Amino acid sequence: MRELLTVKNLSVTFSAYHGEVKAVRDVSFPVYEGETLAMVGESGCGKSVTAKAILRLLDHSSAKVSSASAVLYKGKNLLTLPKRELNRIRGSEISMVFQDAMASLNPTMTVGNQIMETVRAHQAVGKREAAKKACELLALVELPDPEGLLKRYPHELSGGQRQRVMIAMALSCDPKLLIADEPTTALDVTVQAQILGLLLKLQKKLNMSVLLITHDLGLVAGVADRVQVMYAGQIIERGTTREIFQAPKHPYTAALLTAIPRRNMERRQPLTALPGTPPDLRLELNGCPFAARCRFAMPICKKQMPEETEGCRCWLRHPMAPKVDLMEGDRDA
Amino acid sequence: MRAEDFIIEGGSPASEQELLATKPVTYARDAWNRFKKNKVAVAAAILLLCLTLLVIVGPMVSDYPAAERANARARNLAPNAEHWFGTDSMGRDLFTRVCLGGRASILIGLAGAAIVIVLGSFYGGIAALLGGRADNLMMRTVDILSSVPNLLVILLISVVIDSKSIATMIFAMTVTGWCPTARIVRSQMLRISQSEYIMAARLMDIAPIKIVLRHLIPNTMSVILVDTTFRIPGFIFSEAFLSYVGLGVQPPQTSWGALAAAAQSMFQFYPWQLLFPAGGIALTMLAFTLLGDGLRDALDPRLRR
Amino acid sequence: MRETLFQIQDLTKHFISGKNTVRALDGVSFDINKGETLSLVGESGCGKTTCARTLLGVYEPTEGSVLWNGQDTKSLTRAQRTDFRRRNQMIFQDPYASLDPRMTVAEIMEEGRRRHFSETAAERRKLVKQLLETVGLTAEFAARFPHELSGGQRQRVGIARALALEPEFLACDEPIAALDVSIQAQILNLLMRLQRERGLTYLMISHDLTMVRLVSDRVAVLYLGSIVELSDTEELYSNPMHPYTKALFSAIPKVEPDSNWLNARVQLTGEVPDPAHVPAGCKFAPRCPYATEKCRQKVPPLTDRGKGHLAACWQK
Repeated sequence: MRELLTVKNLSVTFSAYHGEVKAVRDVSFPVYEGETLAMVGESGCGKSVTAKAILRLLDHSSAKVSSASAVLYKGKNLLTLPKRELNRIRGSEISMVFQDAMASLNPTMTVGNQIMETVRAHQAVGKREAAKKACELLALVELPDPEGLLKRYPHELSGGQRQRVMIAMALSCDPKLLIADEPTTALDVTVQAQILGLLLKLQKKLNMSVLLITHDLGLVAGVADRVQVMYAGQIIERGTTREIFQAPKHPYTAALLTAIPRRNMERRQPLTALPGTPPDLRLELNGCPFAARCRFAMPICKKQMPEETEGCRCWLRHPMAPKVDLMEGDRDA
Repeated sequence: MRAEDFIIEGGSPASEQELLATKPVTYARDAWNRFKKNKVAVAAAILLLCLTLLVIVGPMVSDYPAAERANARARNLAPNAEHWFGTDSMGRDLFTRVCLGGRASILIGLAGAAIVIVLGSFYGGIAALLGGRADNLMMRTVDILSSVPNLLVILLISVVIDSKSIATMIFAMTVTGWCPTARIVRSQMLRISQSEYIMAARLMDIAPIKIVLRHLIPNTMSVILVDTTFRIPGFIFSEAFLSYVGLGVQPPQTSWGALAAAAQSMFQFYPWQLLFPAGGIALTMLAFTLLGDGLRDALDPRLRR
Repeated sequence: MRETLFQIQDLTKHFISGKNTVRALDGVSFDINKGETLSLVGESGCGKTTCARTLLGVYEPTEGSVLWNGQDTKSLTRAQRTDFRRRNQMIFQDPYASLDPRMTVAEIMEEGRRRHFSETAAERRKLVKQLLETVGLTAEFAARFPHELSGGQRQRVGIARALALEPEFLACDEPIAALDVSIQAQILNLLMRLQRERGLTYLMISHDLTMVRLVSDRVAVLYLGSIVELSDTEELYSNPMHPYTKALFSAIPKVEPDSNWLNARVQLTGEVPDPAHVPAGCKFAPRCPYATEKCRQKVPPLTDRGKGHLAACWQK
């Protein structure tokens, strides 16, 4: 598989009134052609910031991307590209779908005009042709009655319909990579399944890569090819979806999996809950950021951040470490 | 790397201990910390403090009231070592006059703001609490009152009462001035009364009066405070304007507006006579506006984590 | 047979907004037994939150009644109403909006206590300390302000505030929906432990079906203000009868490798209609893959399909 996009040593800090927040700490990963890569983590783990940093969508006044960072796409570094060239790639080759479709759509413009505007921003086509393309796009995202929908305003649509319109706009120029930042979080369960199903179908059809950002590990199964788990601004584990779900290597991943109620649990059986809360990102982390909450923490964990071995940054992978069963007590039928 | 580094001992969730190591941060303290970070707002606050000190202390150092007396031999002097801001057409020390005028201007600003804030908060608060038809009636009254042009009201009142004292002017400026405050306070109170902590209090059967005193008023204070700082420059400007057109402060009393009005005819020859009072007005208004901006950012709960 | 705490009879709540009448709750009847957890599940706009709030008297019901220990809540005397308030409390979804930012944790917890119990300040302080420990915090939190706490800690304070009144019944409105996955489990464990230790009765409101399965004795599925299915948890999850329930279940993501949940799901098209424009007949008919002409014309009654499993569907 060929690498489509490579993120190298990405670090982002925010200056807040109470200090520097190190939101993303030296993150590197590739996105391969045609794959769905899921980035999973809790709020504040840096997953969304990473996604926004790729397209330089972070607020310049507060966010600082370190100079050592690079986002390589077709041999070019998106982080240093001139604004005009970046704008061409943004939208036509890499596009993004956000959580809140209502906030991303212009409430005073019809859906049709907004899609046509996006189409014409990147392609030299006439008005009529753009309208035709807009119709096709709405049909592509399986919205009924595309012609009628073109004349509607965003507030006349339901949440799921709006998210479909957002996806249609993102797909208007056949992007190679779609970054979907919590695309279904604001939606109801049944609609969530519809939208995810649609994304997956379109990805196969258009042969694009999808970077799916989500806090919900459950969504990822059956959707993503690969998963990377973020904690406190770092990727602490990555692997194929099968590896992550069947044999998580990092205690945090294992804890996330066991914190979700499963079907075979007894009624009112306590969940294996993670104690505590994620660390304060203003602090410099010496050891593993998860050590304080980890039930397998060792003295070394508090001193030094482990290197990545076999896609996992954990001292338990070290040859000197004892062997433990991370899913202890939870692995059953 | 030693073997004893690899003994599983389990973590101890640190975040709770971390919190306990710090001192409790009150709401006000938290806002103050945020305000301190805002360099512009802090500068504005310091500037205001300096201006206030200046207008209070200024006349004392400049040998007042001797400096305030007319002096035929020292008319229209340019700023110099003896008369820092020069003298006016009657030979009075302009520095002293500007300080005295500043006292009047700032006092009028503060008094006007205080009156509209108190009136508006009560009116808006009562409208929000009564709700329903009473609220509707009260707010439509506000709509009607605020649709009357402000200047017209002030002119009418000064004509009808036939008096041009400072008190009349403040009365004229505040008679409809409380309307915007009433609106702001009412909408903030309504917003808060929809919030879940008010619902929680209702579900605990807390008496309505206690809900008002303990939840609604404290949570509206920040909005009122910000509104106050934004209203003060408005009154200072209104006073300056009225004095300028001759409806405000009357001689021998003075204010920045009156000083500017007196200096205006001779502006081409003695520009400093206009420059100093006008500068006073501009600086004070700017400082209050910047301070208000800073306060709003510091108190805005949406910025709160 | 367990004692009944609440009997909800034909409860209806309509909100008037402009010309539209939003039928948030449309004739809902069910019982809540002492010591059990009854869950209301459904998508946004199904009326689950309205139901809990009407039950606790936040809203006046448009029609229908709530019987509390056999007595209509509308006919409570003043003293009884105070008692009702103390014994029936609520846990809110948003731990950021449900605590007054100007009060310390201790003040928040003491507010209701002052109202309902006469005791000395020292006794109250001691109780606050005990309660903080009960919900997994420490006494040092008493002097803190909500903005200093994390989401999970705030939710614990919200629970402690309710517990301070020594209630018998808690309506939990999406208590974990706003929290992170690892924190959700902490709060859920806490709620389950409290129920065990104090014999509390819960009305759990949630859209999260995996969570509901873990904590509930019985589950009612709501759609557009009506109950479409109501049954024992085990029975409902193993034998869902209403097409909507089936669709909901199949939309649950399965946390298993190679799960094919997206493709295996019951295809459900469209979205929940606006409760201001409710379709005639069975409300679910426009989205139902099995809908017939009869479904579009007549509202199906909630009938017993055996073992106390109620479903409202014309299909057998």
